[in-house]
Amino acid sequence: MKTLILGVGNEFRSDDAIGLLIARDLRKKFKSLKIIESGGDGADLLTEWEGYNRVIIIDAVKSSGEAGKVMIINPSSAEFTKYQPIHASHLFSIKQAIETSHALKKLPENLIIIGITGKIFEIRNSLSEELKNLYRKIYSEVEIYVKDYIQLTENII
Amino acid sequence: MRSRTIKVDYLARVEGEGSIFVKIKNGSVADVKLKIFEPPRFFEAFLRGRKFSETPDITARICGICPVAYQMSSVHAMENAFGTEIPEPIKQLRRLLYCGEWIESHVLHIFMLHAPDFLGYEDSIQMAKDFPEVVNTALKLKKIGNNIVIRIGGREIHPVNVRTGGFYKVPEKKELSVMLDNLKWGREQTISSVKIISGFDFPDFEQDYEFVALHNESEYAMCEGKLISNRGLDIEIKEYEHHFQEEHAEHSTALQSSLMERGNYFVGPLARFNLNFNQLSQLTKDTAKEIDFIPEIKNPFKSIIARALEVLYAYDETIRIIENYEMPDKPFIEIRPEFSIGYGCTEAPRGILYHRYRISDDGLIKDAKIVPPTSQNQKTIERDLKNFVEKNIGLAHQELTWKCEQAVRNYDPCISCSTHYLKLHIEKE
Repeated sequence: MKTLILGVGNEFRSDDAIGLLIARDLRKKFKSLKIIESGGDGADLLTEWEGYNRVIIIDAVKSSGEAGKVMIINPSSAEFTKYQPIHASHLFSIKQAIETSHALKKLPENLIIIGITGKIFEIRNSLSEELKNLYRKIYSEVEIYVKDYIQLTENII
Repeated sequence: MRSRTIKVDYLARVEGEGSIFVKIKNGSVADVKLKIFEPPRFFEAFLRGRKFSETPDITARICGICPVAYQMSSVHAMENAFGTEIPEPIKQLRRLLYCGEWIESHVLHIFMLHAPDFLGYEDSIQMAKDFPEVVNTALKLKKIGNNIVIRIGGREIHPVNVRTGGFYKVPEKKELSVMLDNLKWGREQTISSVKIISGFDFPDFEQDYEFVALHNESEYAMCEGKLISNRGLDIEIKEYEHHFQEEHAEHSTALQSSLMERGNYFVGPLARFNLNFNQLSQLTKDTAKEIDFIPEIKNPFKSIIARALEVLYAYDETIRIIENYEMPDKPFIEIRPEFSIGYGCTEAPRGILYHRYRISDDGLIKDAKIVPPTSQNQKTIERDLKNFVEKNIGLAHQELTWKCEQAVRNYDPCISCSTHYLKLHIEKE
């Protein structure tokens, strides 16, 4: 199965960078997987994931949960309606990209978002203390989710 | 007295964190404010003390949509400061990179952000359900623009290959020629798109504007030229601050620009089209004539047509540049800094972007001034809203709100460069 892992974020907006940082670390470990970083322009992602049948998006989210909480958001689930990508405001968000892809009947058959609750999203080129301290734990959780999702979707096929 | 309020909490198809406030009292517009409350980002301040050569990489970070514009204005300002002559092949490569950014930015705005207004859709997602082919074509058109920026700039967002004096690395002709088939396809598709867009239903709303744009007799100005207007402005870039001023309005964290003595003015695709029609390619001019879109166009809602014609021009121009491309002997010209002041002004997708730097003998920036296009259009947007609401005061609130949002989107405002959303608030007493 053709797999794409997308780390999304803005490294100058504090915790918004978490998706990018995790993508960089995953790339060191999963050398055979296509792992790319994105600033979150949904219009570009729409064409980026064309041709892939398994897509994993790693992105910072705003939620009522504790900073560092890792969650799985499936586009067909109720959670997706609450999904607030940080760069949602920037033109055309990932959420809009997923919805447009669905409308165009081009949504990859397996797509999930691994959301990480951030605390600070102001202009700053470092993570909040909370996410810095929790980084290894967050990374390990994301890695497990990635492996599990790949295994789960392999079994479906 | 009856009071009504219309509030739009999330206006997603605009870049920027701010709000529009319209107050209607006794049947006429009492107040209009384009409120920008995004905290200032102090780019000009933290450029101080940095090396002159760092400006393209630092200023590119101001905007994820038009980083090339920031890079181009900054390198031209530095080269102006040090009297650097740039060879023609490097100029052409810069023009090619800029065309890529125009295509990316314009296509996104036309199809994903603005067209839904004219077709009666809440957003492009709803539009995609009914017109999948239009959205698919738009995505391909945009991707071709991205590919140009990647090929020349190294990556599509915040390109890394631009430097003062030229580029770090320049492509061979064959690396560019492989894009030609896609570019020719894009050009054909854009002609069809222009015709479709020209058939949209446009509100009857002609206004008197002072249009301001860069002008160059020998080409449709992007990077070099003088600043002109339809009301007699004709100045060199270095004279900019003698004619334009910035003011702080209490309701905005972005400074508002105006022309000294004459007030607000209009920059962007419609201004360029009106002032530089003769410099467009023959194909673009013929297409414009075919749809009876001839200067001077005074309806801001028709900016979407000017924007689409500029996409056509950008496609036509990229093909011309690539077909005539000769790889530069050297990717860049070495620059030796000295105490100086440099001025640069280039045409960002949304209009003129002015940079001025004072440099010390050791090449460090002493001070900087950057005036982005949206701050130049702010006052015009406010005036449009006032006049539009007054003219359409009888419309139902919902429709008036929708039209006001559309009127803001005419300018493709990039309030952002750090943005989040824009709230529209109409209050009636």
